[in-house]
Amino acid sequence: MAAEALADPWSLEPVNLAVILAMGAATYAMRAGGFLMMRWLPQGGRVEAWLKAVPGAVLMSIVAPALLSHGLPGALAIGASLAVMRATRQDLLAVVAGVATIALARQLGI
Amino acid sequence: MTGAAPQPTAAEVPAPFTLRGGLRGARDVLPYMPSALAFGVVFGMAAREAGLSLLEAVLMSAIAFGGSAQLLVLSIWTTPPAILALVFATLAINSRFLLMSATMRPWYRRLPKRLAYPLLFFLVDAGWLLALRARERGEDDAAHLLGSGLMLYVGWVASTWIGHAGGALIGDPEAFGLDFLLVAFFAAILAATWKGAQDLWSWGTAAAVSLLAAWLLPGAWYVLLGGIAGSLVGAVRHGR
Repeated sequence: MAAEALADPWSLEPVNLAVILAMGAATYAMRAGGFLMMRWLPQGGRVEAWLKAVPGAVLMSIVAPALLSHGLPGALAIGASLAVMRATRQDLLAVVAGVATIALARQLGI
Repeated sequence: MTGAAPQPTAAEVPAPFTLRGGLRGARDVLPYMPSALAFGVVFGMAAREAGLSLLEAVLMSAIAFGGSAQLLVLSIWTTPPAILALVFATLAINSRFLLMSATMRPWYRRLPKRLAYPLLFFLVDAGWLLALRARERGEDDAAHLLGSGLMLYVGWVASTWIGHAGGALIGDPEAFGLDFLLVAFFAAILAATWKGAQDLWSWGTAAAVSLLAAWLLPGAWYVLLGGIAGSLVGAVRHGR
């Protein structure tokens, strides 16, 4: 009954299917590519140190620009998350604190 | 000069791959399901707005399986679609999976290839991070990533369907701060992985490069660039 916006929910345009398949191939290439690439790098030593440094660097590269784009509510929320994480060592509580803080800050129009 | 291919260590123990490991992964990801479902609904609604049929929206979620890339693609969707631009945008957002999958090598190379490669399809941010966290606690079961990944996959496809079919289960996810959930999760994990001043160089480089790249470049190349720069600095400073 909610189908009036589109003629046929089961329609499949060939060009749209092509885009979807290409997106899938590109995404899987990324997912498998890093693993495959490591085949040709020696294990241990420097490479191991590099792999160990990847998670922190990737997380920071997601968090820093996100923080900038979320402005003051984002900064308050991260502060709340970090404080709770420090006090409780529970990532779930830290997430709840961050999400609640940003929701509240937006409600208050900060 | 390249030398011989890396020798597999003589007696490398195959990684376990069991139902129990998968269930542990599924349990670990439960707290993150509400936001994943909310975003699936949002994606489904946005896909309808962009003119995709129900089948096309569900297929995109099932085949590409990457929330932020799919949402970005919708935001630049045209009729007819500009294939190259859309694929390029997908690569820009999902390039972070390259680094994530590289970190799976020491673990997943202990699996047969015919198992490791299909499993990597289920590599997503939350599942990857949960698997690495579990591994630090001693988890060795390669099915952990499959358990969390399957939960997220089924939830993502199903919620895309629900969103497109017009069931506006939630109004505006931003009002509930749900768009911030992963950022808060990442920040909390980041704080927990702090190992001391040696991380300062690596993380500072990552922050600086990602901010600069986010400012200068379209798409989300900033995650890949910041991740590469920061981790290389971490590797170079290793042992100093």
